[in-house]
Amino acid sequence: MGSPMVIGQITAGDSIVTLVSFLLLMLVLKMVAWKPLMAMMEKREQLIAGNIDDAEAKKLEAERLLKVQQQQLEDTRNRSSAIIEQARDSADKLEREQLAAAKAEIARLKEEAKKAIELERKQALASAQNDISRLSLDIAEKLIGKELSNEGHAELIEEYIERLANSNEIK
Amino acid sequence: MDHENPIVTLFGLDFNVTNTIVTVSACVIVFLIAFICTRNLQVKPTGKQNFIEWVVDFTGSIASSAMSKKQSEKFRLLGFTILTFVFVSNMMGLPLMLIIDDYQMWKSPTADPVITLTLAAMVIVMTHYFGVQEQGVKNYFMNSFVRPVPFLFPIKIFEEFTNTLTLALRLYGNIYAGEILLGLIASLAQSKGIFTWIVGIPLEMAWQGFSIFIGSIQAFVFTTLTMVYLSHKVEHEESTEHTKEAS
Repeated sequence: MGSPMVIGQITAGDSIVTLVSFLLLMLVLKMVAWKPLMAMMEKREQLIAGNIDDAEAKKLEAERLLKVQQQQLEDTRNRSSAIIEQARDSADKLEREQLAAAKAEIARLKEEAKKAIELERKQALASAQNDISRLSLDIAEKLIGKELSNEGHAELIEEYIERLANSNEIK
Repeated sequence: MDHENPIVTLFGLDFNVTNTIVTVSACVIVFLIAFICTRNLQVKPTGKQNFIEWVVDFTGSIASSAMSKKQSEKFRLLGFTILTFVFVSNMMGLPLMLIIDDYQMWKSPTADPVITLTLAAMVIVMTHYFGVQEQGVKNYFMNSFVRPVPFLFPIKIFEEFTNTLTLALRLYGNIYAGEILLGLIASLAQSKGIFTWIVGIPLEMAWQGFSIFIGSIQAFVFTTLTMVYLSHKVEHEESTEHTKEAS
């Protein structure tokens, strides 16, 4: 130690020290820092690639779902308009049917009423005829009764009764 | 500077104690930074993890700009270690210079030519090693020295040594010059009491700032050139010829 140094003196030992320490440094760095760092960077790369793939898949899926939804929406719209159409049709039909039924009912009632009226009229007419014939009989009776007392009028009464009978027959 | 370095001789080899201390210190500092920054790693990075990942990405981009992406994977750790080690080494001499008993005990390791030459030689040897590993002996030899034109063979052999020297001495020169100037400014500041302090301190600060810039650039250049030399050796025929022709 301590020999005077000339500038440029070769200290060969330094080469060995430098070489060994540098290579050792590289080895230690590789073990301690490089490998975990590379593994981490690799992991990150894969993670990012995975995320991108995932996002792409999700996007495709979303597009597919959107298409399906639109299709379903379209279907529903078609179906609902069909249902409305159908309902309108059936409502119309029902209305027409009810209208027709009501008309028929009215016609039936009218007919019945007409028949009843006719019947009533006939009955009334029949009873009136009876009344008239009875009345005329009464009248005739009274007339005859009064006249009968008078002789000589027998032919007239005969004629009267005959005419009355004829008129009854005509009716 | 003109301070002596303590030298120990072991097994017939001279060891410069200062160089040993600062080199090991640089390694320890790099290790601590990397160690602390890679605790609690999370998929979603925060704070220090962001920092270390930025450095890793930075060295990765240096590597992949020199060679194909696939091949650069293999050399990213080397690039990372070189960049951080050289950068920390360059910064070490800036804040303080420790002189004990006329022995300089603390400085930038890269302000010593032996250390930078060792690093450069290591890098060049590695390029040859990986060249053989990637291409096989025959292709490596043909692509490195014979193709595209055989008469350049001696120049290409020579180039390997000049590459080593330029790689080492560029780094050494920049950092050593920076430290010398820092020392000169410091001694100027101390020369005439309070007045020179007033002049010296801003000067020193300015030069330290500039040295940080230089140190960062040199670390970047060293790493980039390492990757370029590696790519010359490991890239296959077509691209090798292409780069050779281009240069």
